[in-house]
Amino acid sequence: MVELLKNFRNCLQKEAPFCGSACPFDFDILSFMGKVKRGSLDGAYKIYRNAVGFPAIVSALCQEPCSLVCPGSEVDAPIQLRRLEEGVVAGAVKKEATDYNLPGKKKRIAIIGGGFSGLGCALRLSAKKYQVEIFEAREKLGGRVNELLPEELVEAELDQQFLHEECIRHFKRRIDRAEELDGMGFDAVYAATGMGGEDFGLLSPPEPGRDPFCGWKNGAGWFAGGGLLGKDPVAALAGGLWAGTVIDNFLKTGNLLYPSGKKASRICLDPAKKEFEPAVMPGNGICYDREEIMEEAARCILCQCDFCRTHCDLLDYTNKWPLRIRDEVQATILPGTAEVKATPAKRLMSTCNLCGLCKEVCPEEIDLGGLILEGRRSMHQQKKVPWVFHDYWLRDMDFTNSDEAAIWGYPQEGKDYQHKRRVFFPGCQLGASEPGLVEEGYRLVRAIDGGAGIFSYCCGAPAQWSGDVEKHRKVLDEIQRIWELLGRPELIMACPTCIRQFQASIPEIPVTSLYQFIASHKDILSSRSFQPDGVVDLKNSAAEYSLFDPCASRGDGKMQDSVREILRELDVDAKAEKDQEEWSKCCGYGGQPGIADPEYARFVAQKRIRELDGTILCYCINCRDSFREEGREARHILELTRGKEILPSPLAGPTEGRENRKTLRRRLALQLDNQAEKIEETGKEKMEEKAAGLKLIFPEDLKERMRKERILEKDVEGVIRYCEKSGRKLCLEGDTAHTGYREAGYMTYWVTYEKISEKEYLVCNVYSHRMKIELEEVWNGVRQDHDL
Amino acid sequence: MESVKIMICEKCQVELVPMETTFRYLERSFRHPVPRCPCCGQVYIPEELARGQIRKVEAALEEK
Repeated sequence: MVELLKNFRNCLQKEAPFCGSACPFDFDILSFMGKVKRGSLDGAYKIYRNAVGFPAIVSALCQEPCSLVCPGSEVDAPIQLRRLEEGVVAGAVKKEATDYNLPGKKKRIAIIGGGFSGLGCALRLSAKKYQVEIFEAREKLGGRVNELLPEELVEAELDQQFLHEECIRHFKRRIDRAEELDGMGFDAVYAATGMGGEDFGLLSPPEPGRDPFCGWKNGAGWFAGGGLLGKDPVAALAGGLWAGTVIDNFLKTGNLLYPSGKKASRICLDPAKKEFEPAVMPGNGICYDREEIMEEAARCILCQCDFCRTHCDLLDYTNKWPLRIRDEVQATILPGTAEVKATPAKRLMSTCNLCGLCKEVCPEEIDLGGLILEGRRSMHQQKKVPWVFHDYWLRDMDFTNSDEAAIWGYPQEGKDYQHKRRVFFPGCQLGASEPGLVEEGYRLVRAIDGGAGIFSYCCGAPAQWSGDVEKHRKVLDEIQRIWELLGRPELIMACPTCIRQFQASIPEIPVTSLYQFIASHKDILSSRSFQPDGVVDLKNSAAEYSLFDPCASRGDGKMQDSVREILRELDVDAKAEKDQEEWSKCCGYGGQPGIADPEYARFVAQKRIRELDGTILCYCINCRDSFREEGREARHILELTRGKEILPSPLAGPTEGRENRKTLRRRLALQLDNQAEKIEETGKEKMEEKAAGLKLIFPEDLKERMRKERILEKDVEGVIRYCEKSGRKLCLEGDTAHTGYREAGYMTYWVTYEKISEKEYLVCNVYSHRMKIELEEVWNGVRQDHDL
Repeated sequence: MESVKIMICEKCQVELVPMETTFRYLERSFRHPVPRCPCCGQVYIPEELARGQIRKVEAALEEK
């Protein structure tokens, strides 16, 4: 966690854009541009005036150092920032200086030199209500600027900006020696005597470890700046404003510090964003009008490092930056309950897809996903994760790895065990969603010399994603044990997430993707050119196909290339975006946010769908199902290798998912040499169990709702059995339907049903809640036996 | 206007009446009146309550 947090210090989110770091002023150009783009000239003027002090002077004289670094100059012309500033100064209506309502301060500052550097310093300090005195050798203020701009413009600007500020002005008062100010009670002095002026020894090299251009003289802090340091008039003014801030800090803290301020921008810009319209020329040849200002501002691409914001769906959805999420995660995982502290990221932490893209796109490799996973672990350890966020998938994982669904072994043929070099690992969801595809994958893997075994199990991803380190370790240990039992074979894996999990957590197990395996044994596909129903010729049909690389395939060029090879071999022409290949994104399923924030999971799936045309070809079954759930046609690549079109079955709900895996296990077991008898026995048991079960009839719309709400038919049966046995049920007066509830695990299920016979029931309605009903042990003086 | 049907506890054959009930979720418990059988204490949570108010309270507690 500490290591992860360290890297966040390098985040470039708050780094000034190129123009901002080249600008001598402390000017928030992004905010300025934002206002100008919206046409808020008054707002833009305020930002500009706060930065430069004297807008009319600076907009007329600025040499635009920003134009040299603006990325616009690489494409067309730089953003015409000075013209924009000039336009804003001319076009803004509310230009009156702000009257800061602050109490007066007793500290006194002398400013030697009434040029714009001295004036800038005076403006800053008098706005903070210090007592400021300007000593000017000549008869008027303004210094060199008087030679560059009309006198009335300079005077009007000075009057305007000093409207609410008081400062004493001494004219024809030349200060040549520091001692001249002795005894006048100044706490700080700013020497802005201009180019070649008196430096009072401040330009001498500083003592080691001290900042240059400042020193102590007779109990006052002295600072030098402006033209004295060789700066042009605009940079000198910027230096004066900065000196005002430095002197304010000095007066508050007593520390004689004079940092130089500006650093070159470390900003990193997405090259794809460097697109600029041609520069706008003022119609009257002199100054932009309002429309031209907005048009020119619209050219600005607002340089900011935002790779994470561009690519990460969570940041897009929450409209937050990683630094903010870091703070929220840190606050949430602090020990203590919500009564004594904030928990802003509790749901957010369980929402992340944990796809790792944020780290890969970040120029500083900041691992936001890693921090969120660590956060989940910390929350789990503190027992503060709402169980409901991950419970459904953890139960599903336990089911996959139970005797009812898990299976491993080798087929009966080839008893010499030569084939023990290779085992097919389909992953948990392929069998739940499309058991036929597990058999298809296994058929392909077995088709190659020596055949192959099968190992149907869950890779432990749900445990990892839940933050339960111990549970995750247990699953991995069990996988390792079975792998040893199988003779340490190479695993051929259908699920890209399983591959990623194995590579990260059990690297000693050699794994290859099923797709790479197929691509390197293309013979098994020969004469299998995919012709759906023999009617539609995919190659020449108008139907569009887009290939979707799942997030777990990112960085695995071999797997991605293999899938493309397979499609070529099958004569399927699918569009594949280079961007999706390189920055493969999640379909919304990863990290299992579907219960913590179902809206987010849908948001991601819909976003992906918008990016893809036609039928989406997937090689992760979760991607296929996520897209189909949102109503888009999607196919798993194994649906194509079968060589004939089989219409996709309806999306499997939790009950079908379990039934599919149970059936698949029985079908696979019949092919394995060590399992057949055992399976026959359990098969008999299952038959008996089934005979003892109730027959439930569900209307189609209810079935669909239960699928979406992840309610198992088994739990509905549990409620009916309980209600019938205990008699604890309700009914509407004169109605034949009964209503009752029962707890299953953490959940409480309510069922309304009609009894057809002892063994047959029509289910009319099902709903659930997470909250537990706490029944009293004694009611009306009678001890109750609820046995829920 | 449609007449409002009365919910009956089948075990006790009496009409349910609103009564205080304790709920518990994520280490927090609170009381709220819901229809109950005055004889045996059987509770009824209508679907609207489960999908409405209860869902809202659950979501709020999950954030804390």
